This record gives sequence, structure tokens and C-alpha cells, in this order.
Amino acid sequence: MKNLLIYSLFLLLAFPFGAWPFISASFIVFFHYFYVSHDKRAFVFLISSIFSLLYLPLAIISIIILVFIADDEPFIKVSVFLSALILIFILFPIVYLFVIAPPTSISEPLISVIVTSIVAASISTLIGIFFSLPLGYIMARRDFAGKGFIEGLIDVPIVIPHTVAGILILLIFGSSGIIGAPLESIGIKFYYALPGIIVAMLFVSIPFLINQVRNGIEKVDERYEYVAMNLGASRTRAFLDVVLPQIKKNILSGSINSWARAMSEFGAVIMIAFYPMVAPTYIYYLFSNFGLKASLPATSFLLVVTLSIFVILRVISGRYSDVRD
Amino acid sequence: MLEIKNLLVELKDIKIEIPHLLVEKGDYMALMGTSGAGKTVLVESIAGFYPLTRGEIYINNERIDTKPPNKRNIAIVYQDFMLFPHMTVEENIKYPLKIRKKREDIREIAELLGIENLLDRYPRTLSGGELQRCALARALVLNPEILLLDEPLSSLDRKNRENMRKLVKDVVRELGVEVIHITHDIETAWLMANKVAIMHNGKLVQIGTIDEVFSKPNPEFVADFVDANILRGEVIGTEDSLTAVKVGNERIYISEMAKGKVLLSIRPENIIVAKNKMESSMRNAIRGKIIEMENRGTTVRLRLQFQGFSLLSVLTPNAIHALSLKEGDEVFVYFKASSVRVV
Repeated sequence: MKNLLIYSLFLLLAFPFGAWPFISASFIVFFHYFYVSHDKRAFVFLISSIFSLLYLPLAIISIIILVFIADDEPFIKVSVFLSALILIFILFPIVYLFVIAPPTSISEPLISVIVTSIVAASISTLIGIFFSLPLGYIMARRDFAGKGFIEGLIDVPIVIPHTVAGILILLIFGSSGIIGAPLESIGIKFYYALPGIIVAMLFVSIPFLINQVRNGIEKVDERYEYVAMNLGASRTRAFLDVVLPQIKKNILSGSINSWARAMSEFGAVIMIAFYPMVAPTYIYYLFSNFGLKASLPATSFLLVVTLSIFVILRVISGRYSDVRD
Repeated sequence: MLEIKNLLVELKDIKIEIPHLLVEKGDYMALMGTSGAGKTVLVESIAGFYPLTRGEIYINNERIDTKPPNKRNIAIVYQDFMLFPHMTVEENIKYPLKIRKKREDIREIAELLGIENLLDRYPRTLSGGELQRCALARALVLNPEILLLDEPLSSLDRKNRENMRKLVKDVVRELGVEVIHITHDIETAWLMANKVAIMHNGKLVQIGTIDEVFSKPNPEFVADFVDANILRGEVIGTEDSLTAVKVGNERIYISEMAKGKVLLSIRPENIIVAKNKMESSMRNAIRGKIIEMENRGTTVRLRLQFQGFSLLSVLTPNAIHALSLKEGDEVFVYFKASSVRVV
């Protein structure tokens, strides 16, 4: 049954909302399954779902029955069921939030923090692309002393706690920081300013881009560059004409990951700039000053915005790869 | 004309050293040797992809090794063609023109190679033979002085390979470009080249005209891959629907139709060696002498001398033992008429 994972996920999603929502979901699954397979055992599942009226956790039993009657190897069935459990762990909180706090309340400060977030994350990603191309190229094409060390160094921002990353950024780019102080004296301010947010985002998100670019370049045979040079291109031109178009997909997906990381960064950002507020800081501000309930509408709206952008980018990159391969 | 003097290239896992190599005007040089002999590295060094430790390379007496690869006017075609996958055939062929901001028509070269109707296609939609022609067109569109071919025929099937040999030869003659062609295939070398250079362990071990090298192959290196026996002969008539060819002072029967002067090839493993005359359906039975025996562990290679030519045969050590063969023995050699191919 190739729909089993979606069925399980759908049922698991419905059941915390109560017996009637669960039974309704069961009817939908039943009709779809029966329509596709004409498997009469589906009635067993349907009837079992009604028992959830007596005691809601029995719903789990009927999901297990559905898994049991599914036409597949036992190993696959168990794997699908366990997969559904971990996926619902991600999906349910999101859906639940939208149910109790529909993403309709848009306030002026909320728009402003989202704009700040998007602007800062986009600039940070552009800077990231610019630097990850040469670094990714060197890592992909050359062997050198200390390469293992460099590989580790690139991953450092991923493994250290984000507040630690924030402290490091503050130490260097803060008002009395080794770079922050002289730059501030000529008018470029990082502390409590947009550039500070951007460097914090860049620090935590650049590894995604570097590693993606490197993977992409490693898959492009170096002889393509040789041939391009042989045909008259300089090394730079060979890179731009022949390597770059072949790693567009990697740059795109690296940018999406890096951009998403930057958008969601909180720990590193608040160390250097609580203001201007980015969206995660704003959520934290609402939560710590006014409590969980007050933060829900803004959270819900932020979630919609980020998810939409994420989904759109995923679709674009998916379509892009379809064309290319 | 290409001249290499005193060349040394040292890479991580290979070192090549060429004291002197000359490819004269109109030459088509086959570069042969075992895998790992450094043929590709030599060719890529000529193209300028690796720095030279020392040495000089001249094209028409102009020194080019000091120039970057994009200023050398040398074209290279790889075995896997390396057409840019994100460009159409037309964009690929026009790429060298685009870089030089030239707006030339590529129709002529496309027609020469018979790819006019492939121009809008992407490389991934093309067959091996088509890719090959497109790669050649791209390499030749700027009229390079030297064309370097790194086994471009080896990935093609036999029929395509035969067509391509002819096409490449014609195109090269038409454009008047000197060629260095890496190949493992002795037939390709015979049919296309006028000179052969043999590499072993990063060094040139034999170089000369095709006749010189293959009539007196340096057994230490050349026998490794000169596995086919190539014989020159002349058709003297037909008997029982077989063609009789005079080779040296012997008469060899072949099943293919042929006339005039021909080149024949016989795989060493198709040659049967016997101590005494035996009854056999095989049409070719010749008396000869073992002049050399070389044990290579799982195989033993025999060089057999006949009147006016020699053949290489490969046997197992067991067979050698069973027949108690040794150097200097007089033997009879048998092979089927159908085992002999006209090259």
C-alpha cells in the first residue's frame, strides 16, 4: 500500500483533536483505500475507529490495524509506522498552532521584524555565496597541508552553541571589539545594528553553502575546465562558463539552507543586536514579556511566512533540477 | 610541427621524461603504451594543463610552454568527449569563437563532420559516435596547429569506430593539422598513423615510422599491448571460397574477400601450436620455429618465426609443459581462416 505513510500521518494528526475528528479522518482514509484497493478488510479498520468514541487512545489501535492489513512486508510496515510517529512529532505542533492561533493577526511591528529578518538573511546569504565559491573550489580541487583542519574549521559554526558563536561575534565586532571599534569610529556600527545581525547570521550559516558548493564542484570533472581552457578560456572564465552553470543546483540548495538557517538564528543574533529586532527575537520578546499566549499569533504568522518562502524555494529548486538532469 | 625538448613533468603519482620528440608537418602520430605509462599526462602537458618541471615545447619553432593553455592553439579531444552538458551542440562548438568574440559560421565544420542536424541538441541526448563528431567539431573550429586525441575511438562500437577512423583521417587531412593520437588499439594505429611512439613508465621507449616500430617491436615494452599480429600481404587468388594471401613466403587463407595489398590481423590466442603435424579442419597450417618464449605466470608468450614474418602466440604454462615446448623448437602452427581479419 503505497499511501500507508500518508494515511498514518493523517490519522495520527486527527486523533489528538478528539474522537469525531479521528473518525472523520478514518472515513476519508477508508474511502480512499477501499476505492483504490477494494480490500474488504478495510471495514475492520473503519469499525475499529469507532471504538475511539469509548476511549480516545483506542484510535492508536485502529491505526495499527490499518498498518497490519496493509499489503506489504512486515519490515516495511513497521518502518512506515515508526516513520509516521517521528514525522507527526514535527507536523503536529505546527498544525496545532495554526488551529489555536490562526495566522491572521498581522501587526505593524511584526511586519517590520520579518522585513528585517528577510533583508539580513538575504544579504548574509549573498555574502556567503560570494565567499563559498572560491573556498568551495579550493576545497574541491586542491590537496594541501592542513586540509583536514580546514574541513573541521568550516564545520565549527555548526557544532558550537549559537550563544557561543554570538559571544565570539560580539568580541570581534562589538563596540569595543577588535574590528568593531575601528569600524564604528568611521561610522559602520555592528553593535545593535543591521551589520551586526548580518555577520552573526553569516557566521552560523556559511558552512551550509561552502559544503554544498564543494560537493557540487567535486562532481564536475576538472577536465571540463581543462577543455574550456584548451578552447581559449582563462581559468576564471572556465570556472564561470563551465563550472558555475553545472553547480547552480548546489548553489541554490546551499543558499536555501543557509538562508533558512540565517532566518531562524536567534542565539547568535541577540548577543550582538537585540535591536533592530529580527523575527525570532521578537517572538522571544513577546514570550518573555507577555507570556506564551500573547506570543502565539505572531508565532503563527511568522511560521506561515517562513514556511511559504521555504516551500516556494524548494519548488523552484526542484523544478530547476528537473530541467537540468 | 611540434617539438619537445628535455621535458620533465612531475605529478603526485607519475613522472614523465621526454628528452626529445618531434612531430613533423603532416605527421599523424600514434602514442601507445600500457595504462599508467603517462600518455595522457604527456598530452595534457603539451596542452598546458600541468606545469613543466623543466623542458621546452615548440610549435612551428615558436616556444609555447611559457604560454597559458588558452593561448597555445592546440586542441584536445578526450575519450569521454567532455562536451559541456549545459550547452547545446551549437553552443559547444561556438564556445571557442564566443571567447574570442568571433562570429564565424560553424556550418562548414558541422557539414564536414555530418552533424548539421544535431546542433540544437544537448550532449546527453547524443550517441557515442555523435558526441565524438561534435567534440571534434568543437576542437577543430579554430583550426588548431596540433590536435591531441586521447583514445577518442575506444568507447565506440566496432562499426562506429571504423567509420570514425575514416572520418577523422579525412578531416585531419582536409584541415592539415598534426595529430598525436593516444590509442591502445593497434588497428587504429595502423590505419591512421604514419608514426608510432611507445611510452613506458613515463619515458619514450620506441619511436619511428609505423613500419619500423611494428616490424621490430621492442619486445620488452611493445609486446605488452601490441597483442594483435599484423601481417602485410598480397592477395594471390581464391580457393574453395577462401581468399589466399601471400605473406612472406607462405600462403595464408582468409575467409573475408579482399584484393591487392592487404593488412591482416590475427589474435595471438587464436593461434594453435603443435609439435607435430596434425589432422585439423583449420585451413592455415604453417611450419615455423619458436624464437622466443616468455613466461608471464598465467600465460606464456611465444614468438614464432616463419619465412619472412613472425607471429605472437599465447599459451598457458600447462600447454607448454604438455607439449614440452622450448625455444628453438620447430613447430606447426594452425589457425582458422575466419580468425584472420583484414584490417
